[in-house]
Amino acid sequence: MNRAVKRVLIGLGSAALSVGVICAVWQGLISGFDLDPFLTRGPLDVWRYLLDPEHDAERALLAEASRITARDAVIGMVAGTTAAVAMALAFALWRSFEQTVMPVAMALRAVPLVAMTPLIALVFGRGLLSVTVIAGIVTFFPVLVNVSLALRAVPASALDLMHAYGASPATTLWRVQVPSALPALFAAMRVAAPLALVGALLAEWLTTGRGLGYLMLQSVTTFELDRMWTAVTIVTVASILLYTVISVLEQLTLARYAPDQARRAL
Amino acid sequence: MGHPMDRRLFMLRTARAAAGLAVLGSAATVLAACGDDDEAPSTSASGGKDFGTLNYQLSWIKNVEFAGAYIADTNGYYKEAGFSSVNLMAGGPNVSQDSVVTAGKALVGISSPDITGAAILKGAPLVAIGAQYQKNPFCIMSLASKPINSPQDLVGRKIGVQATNEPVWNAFLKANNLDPSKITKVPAQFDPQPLVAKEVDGWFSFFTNEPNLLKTKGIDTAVMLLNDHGYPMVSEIYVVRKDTLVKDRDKVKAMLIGDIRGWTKSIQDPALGAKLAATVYGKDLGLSEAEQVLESAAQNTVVQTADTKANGLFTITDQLIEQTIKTLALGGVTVTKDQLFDLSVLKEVYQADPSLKVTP
Repeated sequence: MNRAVKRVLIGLGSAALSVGVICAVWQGLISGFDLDPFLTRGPLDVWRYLLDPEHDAERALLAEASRITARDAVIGMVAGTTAAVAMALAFALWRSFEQTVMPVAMALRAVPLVAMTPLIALVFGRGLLSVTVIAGIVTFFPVLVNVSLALRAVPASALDLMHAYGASPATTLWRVQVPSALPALFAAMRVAAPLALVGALLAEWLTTGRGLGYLMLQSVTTFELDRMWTAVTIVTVASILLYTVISVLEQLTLARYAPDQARRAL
Repeated sequence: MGHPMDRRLFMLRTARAAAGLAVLGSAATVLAACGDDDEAPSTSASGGKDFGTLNYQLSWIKNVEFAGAYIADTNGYYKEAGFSSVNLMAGGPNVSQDSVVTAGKALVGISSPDITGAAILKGAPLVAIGAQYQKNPFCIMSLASKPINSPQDLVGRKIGVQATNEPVWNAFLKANNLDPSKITKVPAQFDPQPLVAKEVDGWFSFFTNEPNLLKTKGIDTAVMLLNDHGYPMVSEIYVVRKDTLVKDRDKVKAMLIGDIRGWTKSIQDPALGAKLAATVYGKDLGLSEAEQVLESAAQNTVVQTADTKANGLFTITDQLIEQTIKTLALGGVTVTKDQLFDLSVLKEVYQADPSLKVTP
């Protein structure tokens, strides 16, 4: 279990490093470009604003918006990943299904989500459902492509063995293909998690008008610039955290199912 | 409604407006606006004044709302006033015009007193130097079959409000003692389709714009003017940075002269600006010229009043200033007259050339 603890620590360390680098670049850009102080805030300004004892109402507002965005992103990601995994499994069992559906799915993916959002709002309303659909769609494709490729990339010898023992396709899928596709699933989720956040923000901005996605825009138009920069910071940090959490989960799972792959760096 | 063309154009526009705004949406808006000032006034060989490029931030998409500027540009009024070229920058539901002017990316912007007032109270170094509209054009548009006729009717309804109009919406609710938590507000873009699809009950609009748009498509609307419900004020104000009035006073005057001449023409012939909006400046917006003419004629009724006939376009009487300030205070924007308005430049323009005042 020591190794697991070490991996978690390494994960947290690299997340902290990312935050440090981003803050340095941020401050550098602000100082270097001589930007109007009315509009710009540095990392320290955000920090002071967040900790100001008089800002209870602001903190409550940001916390509530963050809670909504976190809910939107997580629900979207879970829905998108579940749907993608289910479809990848169906692809593995019925090849003809894949040949019919995959090109359609890829064509849909080529339509920019921003362009589809007004339609999605029209069809699914302006509530949690359309947010889930939008955040789900961004998660769906990377997971679908990666997992269905991995399900197929199982060593032929393993499949031959299962075949020789008379295993059904479903058993082969469950015993051999699924475990060997786990690394691909996590790799896809690491990419998809920050995307789910972006999808949630987009949905909030264009359809629901709640959460951090709209709060950022609203803060600019009402000149609450401290609030806007803080919201942007929260989103950035959340994105890094989400990535880190999934990386750690990935390492723990791989240590169990694919020890040879677990050794690579986070 | 069966207008696939409009829908497609809307989506294209939305996509364009939204490109790159994903995570750092608002930050990108501000940062893009914060780049260095690229106006480089070069000395002209012709010996005349050369003010370089006029960067002009509009408050909305390029429809006939800015007729005077299109005419001034097309007829060369800005050039005659000393600018080498004009950069009319489109605004829209997600553009904060006051931020763009504050960042120095535009010499002048068109805004609303409540938006600029809120910015000034937050420390923005801005000031308003004139007003195109003598009356508040904002309204809540609803379907005639389910009308919203009074502020009280808003309670329990779902209203589409553009992000850029948040300060106006907030102040209007406050001026009418309405609790924002009792009204569902959803983000609106510029196409009132969600109202037609009954996705929302009301749509934040200019009375000149969206109601006419739907009228030409055969849809009857009810219009509740903010001006008639505790919220009268001037609008479409010219906003500049305060230091611009010191550093670039002549440039501001030149811009105003171009606009006065352009708007004078637009009042003479509402179809002129409509044609330019539909066929040149807003060509890719899919505007209907016939509808733009209606809109142009409607807006002329608030640009030209007995007062502006007597004192010149964009001037604001003391009485109207008092009223605007009083309304703003009701909406929680407690800005003073001297903080918000400086009409001295406009006065100087008309003093130097009283013939500009002559309107048909």
